[in-house]
Amino acid sequence: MTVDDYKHAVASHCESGSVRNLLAHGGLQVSEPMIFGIGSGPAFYYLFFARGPSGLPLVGIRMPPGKILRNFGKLCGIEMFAKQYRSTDEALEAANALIDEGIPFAISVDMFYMKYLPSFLHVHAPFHFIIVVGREGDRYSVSDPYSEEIAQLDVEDLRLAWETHAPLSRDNSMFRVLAVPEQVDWIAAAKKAIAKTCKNMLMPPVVRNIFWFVGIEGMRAYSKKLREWPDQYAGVKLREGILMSAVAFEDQGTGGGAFRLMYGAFLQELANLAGSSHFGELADRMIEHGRFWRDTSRMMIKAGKTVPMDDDAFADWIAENRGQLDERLAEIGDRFARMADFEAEFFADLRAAGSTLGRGD
Amino acid sequence: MIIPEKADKLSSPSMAVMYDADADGKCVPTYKTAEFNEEIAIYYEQRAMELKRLHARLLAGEISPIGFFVEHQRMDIKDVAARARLGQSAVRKHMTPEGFGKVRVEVLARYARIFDVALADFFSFVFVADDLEVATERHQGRLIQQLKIFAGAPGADPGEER
Repeated sequence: MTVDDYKHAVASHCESGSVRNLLAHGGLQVSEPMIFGIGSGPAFYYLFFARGPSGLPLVGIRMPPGKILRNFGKLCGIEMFAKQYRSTDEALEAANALIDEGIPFAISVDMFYMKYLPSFLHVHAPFHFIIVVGREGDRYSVSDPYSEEIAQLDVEDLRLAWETHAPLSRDNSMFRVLAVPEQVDWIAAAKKAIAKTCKNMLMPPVVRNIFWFVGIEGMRAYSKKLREWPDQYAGVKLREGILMSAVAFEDQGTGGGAFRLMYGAFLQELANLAGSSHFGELADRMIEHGRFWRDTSRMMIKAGKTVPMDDDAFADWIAENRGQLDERLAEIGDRFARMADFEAEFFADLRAAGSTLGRGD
Repeated sequence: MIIPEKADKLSSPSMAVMYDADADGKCVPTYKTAEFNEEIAIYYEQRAMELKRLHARLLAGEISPIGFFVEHQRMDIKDVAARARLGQSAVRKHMTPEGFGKVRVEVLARYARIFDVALADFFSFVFVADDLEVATERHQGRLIQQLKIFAGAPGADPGEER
């Protein structure tokens, strides 16, 4: 049994891509950047207390899982069903009933068990969004924005991925579209979303001091901490940490430049909708910033590649090359500090522009 | 654990939807080869080397099979403990050879689910020559694992792969 008329399409990001595909099936055509922007997607978290797939402290560059979907649905008047089932058995029962009715739905799973994806994506990230669109016995058909085609998932893998008990996971949760409005006031929704994004990134001074690892302050902290990596990590861990941080910023579902290019595309689409040249200029600035981030990731790749792949060779290598590695990381750190300064200024400007959006330039 | 002699390789370029400004300055998505595809390919080589290193540490008695999989899958103890519904100190203990010897089968089965392996993978390493393929079947909640080893020639019966 497969949901009729469901059209699978690839996307940059699993959550915004899944929402786009679900909405398209529900009758609302909207671009992925609009979902990301109105979902208040951009963020920065330097989660020094958690270890990320790179092996270094976890860095978040977008809102926590599920937030984009909820924010977008709320601001655009999408009637959504969201439920976290108590057990996988209960969730599967509900899933099977929906498939029988021909209704697609999104779930949040651990990407590690998605065997149809290339193995470098088999990381324990329990917040990967996919859409379930069919079932044949114990095999489920899933629409994953990272896969070119509809993929197959065994029920055993689905069970493992859907209920992990991992921190940040949304075990056995299900989302689906109940109804879409005939018309969406994109400008009104975008205004509210922009205000929220700017608030999250800038934060009031007192909050900023407490949550020094979030938003602009988080970027500043990251710019300082990355210089200390050679003191804290060695060998393959250091090499992989630097390389995979860059890959995560650029290639792991961000659309490039740590989601900033996709946010630029959102601002551009908004500028066209509102006929605002000022928003067009803001979009250009954000796109340029995304490109700067992309170049910074390229520099991280160059720095990471200098570290030997063999742990046994590391001691001699670092004794000889520590100064050079420190210089490279200092340069990258300086670029992150510049990016933090840029975002501080940019989101302040965007907040001001957002309040007058739709009133003409 | 089954370790193929040939390193796991990136079989085709890694593709992603990437945004950038076109000639008119419009920021558009393009489905193309990932920016760092080359580095992703090297990552596979690194993982193969990492596997050898961890295997050597395991045989030297520095880590237990639990420690092997925690490190190999780049997990942190907090995450593993939450998933296994155990305390962090218990996981730390199980990551040592001494502690591993005292893990109950029921707890081991929880670890097996997290790492997506069979219980047998905690106790044996099967090195598979270049010209051979292995198909695995797991039964009874991963307590039993059946391996079919066959020549990797075209037309060979791979059995039911899982």
